[in-house]
Amino acid sequence: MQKFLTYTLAALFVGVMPFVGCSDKGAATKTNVVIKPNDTEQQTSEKQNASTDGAKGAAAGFGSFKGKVVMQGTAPQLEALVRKGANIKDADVCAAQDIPNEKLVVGPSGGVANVFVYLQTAPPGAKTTDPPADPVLFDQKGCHFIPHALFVQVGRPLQVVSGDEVAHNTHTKPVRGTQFNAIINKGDRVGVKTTYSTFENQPIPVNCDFHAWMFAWHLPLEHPFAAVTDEKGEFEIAELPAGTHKFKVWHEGAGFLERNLSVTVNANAVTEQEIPYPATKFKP
Amino acid sequence: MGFNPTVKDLFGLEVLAVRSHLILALGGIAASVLAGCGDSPDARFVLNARTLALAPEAQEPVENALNDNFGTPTNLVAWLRLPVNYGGSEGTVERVETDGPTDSFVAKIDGEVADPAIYPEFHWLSGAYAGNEQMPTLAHFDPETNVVSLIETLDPPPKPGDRFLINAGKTLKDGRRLYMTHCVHCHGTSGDGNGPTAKYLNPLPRDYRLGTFKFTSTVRVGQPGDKVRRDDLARIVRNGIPGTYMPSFLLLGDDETVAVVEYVRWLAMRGELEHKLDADLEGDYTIQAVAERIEGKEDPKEIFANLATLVPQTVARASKELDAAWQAAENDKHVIRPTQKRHTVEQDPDSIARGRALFLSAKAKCATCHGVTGRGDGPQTEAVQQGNDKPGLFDDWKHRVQPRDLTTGIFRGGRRPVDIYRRIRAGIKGTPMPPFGNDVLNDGEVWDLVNYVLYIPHLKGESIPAITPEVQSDEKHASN
Repeated sequence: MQKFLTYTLAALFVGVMPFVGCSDKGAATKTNVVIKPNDTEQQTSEKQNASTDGAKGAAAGFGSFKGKVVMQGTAPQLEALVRKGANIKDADVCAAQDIPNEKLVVGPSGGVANVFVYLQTAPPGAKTTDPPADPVLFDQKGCHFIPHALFVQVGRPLQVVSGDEVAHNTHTKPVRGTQFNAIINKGDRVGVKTTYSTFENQPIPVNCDFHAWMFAWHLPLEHPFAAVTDEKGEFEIAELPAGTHKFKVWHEGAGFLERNLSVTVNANAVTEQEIPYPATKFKP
Repeated sequence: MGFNPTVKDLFGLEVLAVRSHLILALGGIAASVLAGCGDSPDARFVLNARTLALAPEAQEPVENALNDNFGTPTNLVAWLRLPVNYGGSEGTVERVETDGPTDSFVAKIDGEVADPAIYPEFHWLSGAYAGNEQMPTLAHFDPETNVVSLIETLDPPPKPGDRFLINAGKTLKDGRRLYMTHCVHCHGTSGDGNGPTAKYLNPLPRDYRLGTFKFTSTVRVGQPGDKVRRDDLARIVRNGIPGTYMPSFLLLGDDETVAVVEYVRWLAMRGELEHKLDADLEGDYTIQAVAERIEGKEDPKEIFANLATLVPQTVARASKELDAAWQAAENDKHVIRPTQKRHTVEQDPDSIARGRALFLSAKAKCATCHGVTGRGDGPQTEAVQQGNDKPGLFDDWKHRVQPRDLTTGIFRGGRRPVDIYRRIRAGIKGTPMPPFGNDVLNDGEVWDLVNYVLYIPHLKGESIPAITPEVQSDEKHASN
């Protein structure tokens, strides 16, 4: 009898719990729905605001910006990412020679390579041209990406190829756009073509899912006013409308070195400028 | 030995048990009566971590844009810009009995009308009232006479031919109710995969807000139509995900499944819009970026001036992208279908051996992650990927992922051969599992891999079936 009572009470206790407990307010609350019309037509045009205070409308002429990004101080010596003969995956291909660490490449006169210098948006008065139809080559050789830092115009074909006797899996990690993720067969010189369909606000990482050390940076933009510094730290951006432009300067070890590098370009002239940054800014 | 309590063990001290249960039961009732139910806060959509990293001046317009276009969990906004079936029936005004102010008219309605007490939403699609921000309220519908009665008086009266939506947003509302009953405790109110039980789960519940779903029947990521289809989500809701905490909700009816799938799609689009706003803003407007800009002698007032135009532009562009992307996925041509029929192992006994050779080959590189024995312990699982500070493979949600242990025979995306075919062809979205296009593996090769993968759980320590000399030489060549 007592046992029976116990069971009954226990059952009652369990059975009653959901009823005495508070209802799930989230689900039970009265909900309203408001219909919001498809407001496509009322929306503002997609074009981004100009980043330039310079010439409005037709440009008074065009000039170039030529510069050199320089590190002040001593550049650290980086060890190779992979030593020749190292015991790594696909060693007969990937460890056939040293794989350089390109996180910070500083030339003999302090010039910093792989720095992106760019305008976020096309300046007003710039000539509007279609993106070039010839593809940009993005290569994989000795299990590292060539180039390490790449600017590509939105809509321009990017041809991802391989010169290695192993397969690679090239995988871009854009923030605004959609990923590209494809296997490139060994020695595939035709490779896989892709295009960026939208711009990014800063360079985005690219890796190979098969070889952990492989790493590169891409910057897609909707105009040609961008450059990556070469091994001497030098770059040139041509066909800029005369006026003052505000450039972004970005390096993988530093992030934004500058967001508003103000440069005045005159018609039919080349503005030359050395852009120095202290070594402490660069963290390899 | 083992823990095997009998009823007597549990209720050994019977008298005490009676008392303690009585006390507990009464105490429980008393406690909940005392605590009351009216004080719990309303469900809220939360901002994601990227938005929270923005300066407060930049967070605000993002939050406003989300509220304007999606509302709150209690005041949902059904934004017709997006390819979501919000529900309700369309109708046309047929006859209005008066020239003066009126609250009723005779209508022709395509479909059923549901209870106005639960679904009072009414929206004009055309005519003088279309585009009005204030929506009228449905009071009554008489299916005999087809008379629609509204609570508000219409002055002037609507005209015959005016189109409207009755029970507007019914599917969204139903989906929300079901989601807040069955899904929210794991997937969270915002669909962030961070409901109250999430912290006890491994793998974690899906965070929908990237708009990425792993197991789709659609083409690989980066191609038009790469999003998840309604069919894919409905299959997951019905079958659950084996090997995870996602259970089967087969007991939901068809209509309920449709509603909850639609709500999940809507939450995913909401989350994606937030991420797209973050992507446009975080370059220049994070707390850190703003500090750097002020340090770089920019005028603090000027810094945020641009947001008034930038945010609406992003919303316009992002909604266009969302519309195109989610619609494309529903297009049948973006579903991955094999062009060649699979030969079963009985029809083609060498298939398993060829599949194994491919599994180990330099061409497909499956063993790199899944391991030589398929246990998900390949060398890549311990490598440190560039850009990461920890070893291992990570997904787009920044969680460490283990490649599937193929020896268990548990396949999260489904165990039909075509499911595994699609996992190989499209990859697993949001994870390092890459897609293998026709240029890498032809259909016959993919089916060989499928046959081998389906065979792995049955190996049980036995050696791999003998590889014919021809295949052996292929394998040797491939691994060179």
